[in-house]
Amino acid sequence: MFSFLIHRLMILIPTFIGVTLAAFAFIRVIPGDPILVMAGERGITPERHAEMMTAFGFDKPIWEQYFSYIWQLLQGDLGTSIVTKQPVLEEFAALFPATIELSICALIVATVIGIPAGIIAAVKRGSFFDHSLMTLSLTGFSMPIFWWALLLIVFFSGFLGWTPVSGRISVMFYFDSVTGFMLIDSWLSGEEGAFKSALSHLILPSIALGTIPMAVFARQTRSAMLEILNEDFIKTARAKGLSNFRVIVVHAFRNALIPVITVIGLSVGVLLAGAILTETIFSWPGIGKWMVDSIFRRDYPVVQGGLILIAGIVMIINLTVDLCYGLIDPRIRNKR
Amino acid sequence: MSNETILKIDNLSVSLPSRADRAFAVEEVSFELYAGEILCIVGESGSGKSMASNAVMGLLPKPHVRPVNGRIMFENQDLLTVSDAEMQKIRGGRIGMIFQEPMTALNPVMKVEDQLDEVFVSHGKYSRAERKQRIIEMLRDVGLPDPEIIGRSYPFALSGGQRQRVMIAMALALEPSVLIADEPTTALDVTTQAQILGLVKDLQEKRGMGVIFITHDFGVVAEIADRVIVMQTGRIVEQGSAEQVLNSPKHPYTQKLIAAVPHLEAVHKSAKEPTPVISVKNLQKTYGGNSGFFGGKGRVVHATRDVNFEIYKGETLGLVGESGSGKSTVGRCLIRLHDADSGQILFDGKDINSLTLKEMMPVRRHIQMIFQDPYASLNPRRKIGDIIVEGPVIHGAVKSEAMKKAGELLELVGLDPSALKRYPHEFSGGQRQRIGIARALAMDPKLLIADEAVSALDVSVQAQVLELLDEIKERLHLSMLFVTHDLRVAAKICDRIAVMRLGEIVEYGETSKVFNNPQHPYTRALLDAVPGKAWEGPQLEEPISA
Amino acid sequence: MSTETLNYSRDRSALAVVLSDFWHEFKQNHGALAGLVVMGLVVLMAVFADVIAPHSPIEQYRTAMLVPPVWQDGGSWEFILGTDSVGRDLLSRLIHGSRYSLYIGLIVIFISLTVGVMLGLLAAFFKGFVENLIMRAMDIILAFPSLLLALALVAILGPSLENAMVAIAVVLIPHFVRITRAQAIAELGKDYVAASQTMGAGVGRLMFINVLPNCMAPLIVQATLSFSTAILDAAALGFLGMGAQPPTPEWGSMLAVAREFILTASWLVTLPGLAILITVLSINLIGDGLRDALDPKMKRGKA
Repeated sequence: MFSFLIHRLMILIPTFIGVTLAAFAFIRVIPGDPILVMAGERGITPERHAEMMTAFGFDKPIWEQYFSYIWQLLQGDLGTSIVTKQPVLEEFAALFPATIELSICALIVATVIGIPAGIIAAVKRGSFFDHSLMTLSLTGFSMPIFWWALLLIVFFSGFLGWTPVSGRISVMFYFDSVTGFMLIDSWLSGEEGAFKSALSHLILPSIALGTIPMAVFARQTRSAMLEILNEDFIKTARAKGLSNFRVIVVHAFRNALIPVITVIGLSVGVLLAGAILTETIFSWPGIGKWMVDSIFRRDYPVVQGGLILIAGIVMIINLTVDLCYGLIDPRIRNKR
Repeated sequence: MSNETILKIDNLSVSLPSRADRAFAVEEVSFELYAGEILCIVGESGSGKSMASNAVMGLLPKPHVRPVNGRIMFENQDLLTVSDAEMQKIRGGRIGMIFQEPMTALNPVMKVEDQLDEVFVSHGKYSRAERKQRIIEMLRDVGLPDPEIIGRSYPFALSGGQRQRVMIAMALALEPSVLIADEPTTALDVTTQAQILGLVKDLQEKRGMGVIFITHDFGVVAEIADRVIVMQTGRIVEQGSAEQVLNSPKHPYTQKLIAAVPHLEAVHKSAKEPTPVISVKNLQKTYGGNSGFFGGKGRVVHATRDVNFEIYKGETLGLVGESGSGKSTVGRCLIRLHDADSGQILFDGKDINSLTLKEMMPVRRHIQMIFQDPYASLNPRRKIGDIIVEGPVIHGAVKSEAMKKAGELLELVGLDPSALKRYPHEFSGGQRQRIGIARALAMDPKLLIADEAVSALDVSVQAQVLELLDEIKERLHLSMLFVTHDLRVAAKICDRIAVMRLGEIVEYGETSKVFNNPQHPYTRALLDAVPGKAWEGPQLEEPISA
Repeated sequence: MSTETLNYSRDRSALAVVLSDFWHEFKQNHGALAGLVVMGLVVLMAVFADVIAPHSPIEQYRTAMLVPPVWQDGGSWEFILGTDSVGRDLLSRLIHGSRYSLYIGLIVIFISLTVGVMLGLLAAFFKGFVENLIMRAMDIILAFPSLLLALALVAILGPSLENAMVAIAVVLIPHFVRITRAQAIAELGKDYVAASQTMGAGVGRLMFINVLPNCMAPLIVQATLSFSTAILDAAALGFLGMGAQPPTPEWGSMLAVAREFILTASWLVTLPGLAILITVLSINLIGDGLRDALDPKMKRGKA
């Protein structure tokens, strides 16, 4: 298991170096003078221009620029926002909990509905339930989620008036952030109705963001289950006289978990991509909205730093998924 | 053996889905199983032999394949009509079953003892402590060493033979009165097969069970059967005692099958002129080892070590051994599909092993290979004609002339030249193997390497292809390296034999000498393990009319 | 020795047999057939947009702004699906929009398929350095969430439909590389390749004549899925203002403009989104049908 972990890490390091190279190249391949491009319509004085050239190190040879960039990176310095003058890492740390909160809720929605539905569809292959579920999940999979989010707003907020349209909590409430997770903070604050307000703000974004993963989980669980149910050892389990339930849950599902965990891991990338749209539509102050805003504001140090941080998170999650395989599958655990 | 019937199958028919090549997998099949006997069901692939037993267990592939007629009477109930709950009690409790592929028949993510324990738990037998005790006993009964350690292992850590023993322990855990064994030794090496056959027979005698043993191998039948049923395309064509079916078969199909079984006696071939076509000296090949930094020290596997042999002009040299013996590696080194680490392969005065790929080009014409799997060895997306002329065209032949010659070659191997314009999927396994032979011959080789070339074929087709190979070799004055795990096949076609074990040749000599007077203990063990070796076969008046 | 009888059907060429087998599998799947029909209609709509559309997609009828669809109060048959805030006919814009979606899908697939297949084959054939280089590069692309990477690329290249297509193609390449490589490695292990090698076939012949045609089934399925992903991502970029620019009648950018009318003129939001959903869904239905018909694993499951 340990050497398996080492092996995965060995692949991760060159990939991460590649990610830093890509992010480093990002500012430098923009056609034209990057400082002028970033300044945009705001304009810039020649003094400030020269100052920024030195600050970014654009006057030095390219390899020197890269190494000083890496050196800063290793010290935790991801640059400073041009617009807010705040360190990128600090902004990220302040906004990231909002994205985690939203992603986790979306993942819960997707898992709790998607996986059981996939199991039932596989077991009842060819039934009405199976066909309806497959049609529904394919529709969910084909959904333009920015449109889906708008429809949810039209129906639940506009027509029914049940849920708020944007933000994380009603402006009525104000309390200090402790964990950054609004659900926990509002509960800790003890203010009446705060938790309920936070929860009601979460519902629509979670559904919007969770729809595609839910569809993917249902389909993947179904096909993994169908494949496993065809395996010889399932026949063995039946030949032993086990109950149907035991065959499906103990023998089939545990083996089907491996591909299912893969898609759950992969869906983190999907969630973060979806968060860009969902957060923009629901004005959810997370890193997705932050990245889009920064791109529009041409705040390229933020975009650069954000790219590295997000890629780093995706890679760490993929590593965690690999470790989960080891927990489930003894064959992988014992591989060199 | 008593005459008490424990299982009675009465007029059973099992339907196939509408697009299958026939309507019924099993049609109007009736037979009985007596207590304390081993009943062998034999047949070639597609004969429906496995379907009959799966129907007994209620394990047919569900929606499409289902019994449509007949009864399966067991302990006074019809298994086709009992409830699911009843059937669960019978499965594993009263009837046990083992399968062909030990590698995939156990749940890979569950410990062996847990898989055994499940049998007891789901049938509500024994207390926790008793179960623990029973599991150890069961594992010991099937001849597994260190049952405690094996119990705590996951299946991947066990060998094929060990897994099959675990399967047997599981099937027999609740002492069922019937055991169904569906080709349980087909995927195993011959020495392991002999052990498992011995174990099944032993346990059957001790417990007085009835065993239904499904196989395609008449050698296995001769080894263990009390009674035999022969099936062809879903119907029973002959049944009777083992003695009667094996030695005086009545039905022409049975006669044909039995006549096709090669026998262990070496056919005496005329002495060849001993001019070597190819000589192999000190061939070494290892796998693994260089797994890079941080990868730990890779396990070095010696595929071959110090292999020496020669193939004479016009002879067939057999390279026999069990899986992992390195016999296929040797074959592939001879045509540089693998590169040997050291040693010489002298052909036409050149050392093949030290040639660059460019220098190798002219040599390729002279050494050609016939592969094991007739389904994987022809490119499914290319027409037969294109497949056969590929080699000659690469070597500068004009395509139209090469095509003409390809047509002649197809006739030589017994196929119609119109096959040139067809795709591989339109041909049966035996036909594809003939195409593979034609492809090799298109290069005008001096040496043919046949890598398990008949192992994937049914016995009657196998006999035809073997005969074709022998005939072509004589006609075109070829030499042949015949790589096989099957000693019966080797006896039939090889002039001399090299026995390989763990990458080394342990015995090397004329076939008759090696078979009649084996020197090395491993050769003796191999020969002893051949199932049904004592069975000589009937003296049929008619030769094979396939 | 006798000849085994050849049991192939005469009169039909082998290719026809393969195709008819495929069609037989495919038409079992009613969803896939429905998808095919809808997709056929979308293609016709795109080809004959100029003929079918009742109005020009960019002409602004100043007298008829925000006219609701015909089934709502105040709707008229002149503008069947209503008009937008500057008085352009929504139906005509939707019809012309199908051109953009198909155009985006085709170009993106062409780029990512050709590049992806080449890189995948190279990685499968040249183990070691080349393989590592290619696969790590793909890992890097995959480390970024796809839409984020596309956004960043468009930010560099400048917002336009063409740049959005390039960005989406880049993001989709790794999937083709991985599938091609995995399939090619599996095929390379088969004996028909070994047979070709023993004949002296070179790398080019092995790659393109022997291996590539046998990798096509999963690639076709992936291409279909990527087609729908491309349409969705291009619409998302358009929605964020980073794709097609106004007044181009691209469905995503139409949604972006319509956002502010979400509660007052909901047809401007629902209809373009519905167009995207129906197109993408029918492509995905076709993809599912192709997978079932082409995947040998599924075939083996049947008798």
